[in-house]
Amino acid sequence: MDLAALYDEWVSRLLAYMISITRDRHLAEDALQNLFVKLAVSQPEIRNPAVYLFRAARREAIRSARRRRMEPLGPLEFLIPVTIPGAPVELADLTSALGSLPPEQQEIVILHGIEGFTFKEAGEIVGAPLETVASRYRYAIDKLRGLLEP
Amino acid sequence: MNLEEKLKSVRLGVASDGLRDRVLRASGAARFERRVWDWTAAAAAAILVVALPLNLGPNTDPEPGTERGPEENLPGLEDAVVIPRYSVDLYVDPAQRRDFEVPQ
Repeated sequence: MDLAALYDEWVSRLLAYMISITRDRHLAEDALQNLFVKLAVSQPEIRNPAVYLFRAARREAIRSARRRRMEPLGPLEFLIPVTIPGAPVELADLTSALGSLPPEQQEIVILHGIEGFTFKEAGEIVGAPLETVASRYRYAIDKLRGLLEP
Repeated sequence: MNLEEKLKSVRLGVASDGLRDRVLRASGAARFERRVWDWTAAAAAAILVVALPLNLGPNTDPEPGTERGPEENLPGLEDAVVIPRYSVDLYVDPAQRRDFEVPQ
């Protein structure tokens, strides 16, 4: 396993995901380091890198976040705009709206709505059944509509 | 732009300047430590595999020509009187106690 290549390909997304969980940049960095140390030692065979890495990153981030109180998500930067012509996005508004969601709904919006994982993959990452994941997403979207769409 | 399009117009991402060296150095050190541990364990196993058939432990076999254990081969031991060892809790009748007194 080429850890450097794995790092270069995934670090930006994984670190952002971990920040959204820990609400703390330094905790997320420590958790990311722990993740790569474990990968270096165990050298697992990874079939689906995206699902495997996000699931492992989530586990490490939650482990780190339990050691500190949760901070608000609003001021944290973990989203970057994708260039779509004529579609300017107010990142602050979106981040703030995401931060108002319960954590279990927020992560499904991030995984499915933003990162494009299927409900099944998102369920594997968070360790929840597909129906639960879909239900959380529907509730989250309803809340976000109320906040973001006039 | 509806909400789903808004969500698709962003993705997870954050700058990670300066973190690469730290993470890869820690990962490399952990991997090296694991390899050293694996080599040590393999070497210990190899030593055991070689040493056990050679019976390199302390020699407790009796001397050639004797079937008895080494402590039974002390000179004159066969003439010794075996004195049973009694417990200190042995009941002694007070009337008989003088029989046990050691002469001065």
